[in-house]
Amino acid sequence: MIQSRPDENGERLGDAFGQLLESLRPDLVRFAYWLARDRSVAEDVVQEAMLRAWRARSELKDAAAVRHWLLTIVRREHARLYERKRLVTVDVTDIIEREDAALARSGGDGELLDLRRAILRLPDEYREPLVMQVLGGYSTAEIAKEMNLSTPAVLTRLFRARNRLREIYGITPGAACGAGEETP
Amino acid sequence: MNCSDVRLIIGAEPGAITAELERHLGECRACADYRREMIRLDHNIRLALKLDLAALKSDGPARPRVRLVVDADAAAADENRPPVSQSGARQWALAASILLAVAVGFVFWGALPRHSLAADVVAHVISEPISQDVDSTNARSTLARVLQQADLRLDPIHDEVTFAQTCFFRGRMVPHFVVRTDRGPVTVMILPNERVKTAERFAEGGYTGVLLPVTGNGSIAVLSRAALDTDAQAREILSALHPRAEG
Repeated sequence: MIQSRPDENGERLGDAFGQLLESLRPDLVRFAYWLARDRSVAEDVVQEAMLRAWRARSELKDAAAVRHWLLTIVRREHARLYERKRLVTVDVTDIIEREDAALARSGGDGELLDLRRAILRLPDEYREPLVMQVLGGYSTAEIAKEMNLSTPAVLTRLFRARNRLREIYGITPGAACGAGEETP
Repeated sequence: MNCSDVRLIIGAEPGAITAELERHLGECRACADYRREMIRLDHNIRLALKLDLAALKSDGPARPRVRLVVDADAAAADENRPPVSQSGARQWALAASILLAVAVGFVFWGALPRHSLAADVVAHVISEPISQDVDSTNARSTLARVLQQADLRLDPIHDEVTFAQTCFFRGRMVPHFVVRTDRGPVTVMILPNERVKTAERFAEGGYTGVLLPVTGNGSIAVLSRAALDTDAQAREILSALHPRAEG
């Protein structure tokens, strides 16, 4: 249990902040899940991130930016977890097998389940910016900054992520255009 | 802007539109179809990512969930608080049940197999954000407060204290501080509830360090990335560390 320590913001603010954290927990868990592709890891990451956020709550200047701030903490916590635990690389088929029941329980039709599997199959370097953009609401520039990439590199990764999903998802390729011009 | 440029932009940000893009789409039916397809796909991606949280609940053993609660004494001291009503009593009952659940969680947690103490210490140190704005006077007074919370005090030491904080480690709040030595920074964690029988030296995650038993109970972890004698540092810290009750 973390006891909040008296600070200049007062205990009431701390209490309100705790409630705010709890209210955003579902979004954080979803985000962490798509980064980690493992429910237990996602729960751990969010738990650590919330503790970290609680400690650093005085650094939050703009209350409206709290969701974005927390998502960033979750992402960094996930990255740290990989750094320090050197998580073993798992075959994507095993991941799908392990997570399939949870994906199916999440509702939607068969097509949506296929799409979820396809997203799980995406390599980290494509899945992460896509999740940051679609679920996290990050702009391309923000993703670039957070992932330490150039903006064009992020655009390329997002483009490739969607095109892979488009292929895996079974959408027929669009009509050819721009003869001789290769897409990135 | 050619079709490749346009498809890159659409594939990266299907909803984005600029005057130049709009002009191209007006002239290129294939790219306009591609955009429609990508917007539809993006809508489905959004739905796919929005997983039901109950479905995400781990099948594994329950883990202790830390609740963020305000200090009970501070809350009680708030004189402006309205009298406890029936719903207030219910809230207290709820809070009590949450605390009980957390306590049970901790007990359960204690029954789980653990990583080595050294590995956990290194993992904690790696994950802990250390402020770069070093204010030694402030850090020293913070350290005194942090140690006071653990019923400890530290005699003046030669090295400059650059960071001090009470940290959540293995279910307990423990003192964690950093001193700057001539050879580099050294991290110290005082672990009143973690016993080691003898000195345990470790090298992990780029850190080398030592766990030393503390007379009475518990242990102290001293570690650094720098090439220095952590044993000597640990002995120095240990000799300066006393229970608060001691004069």
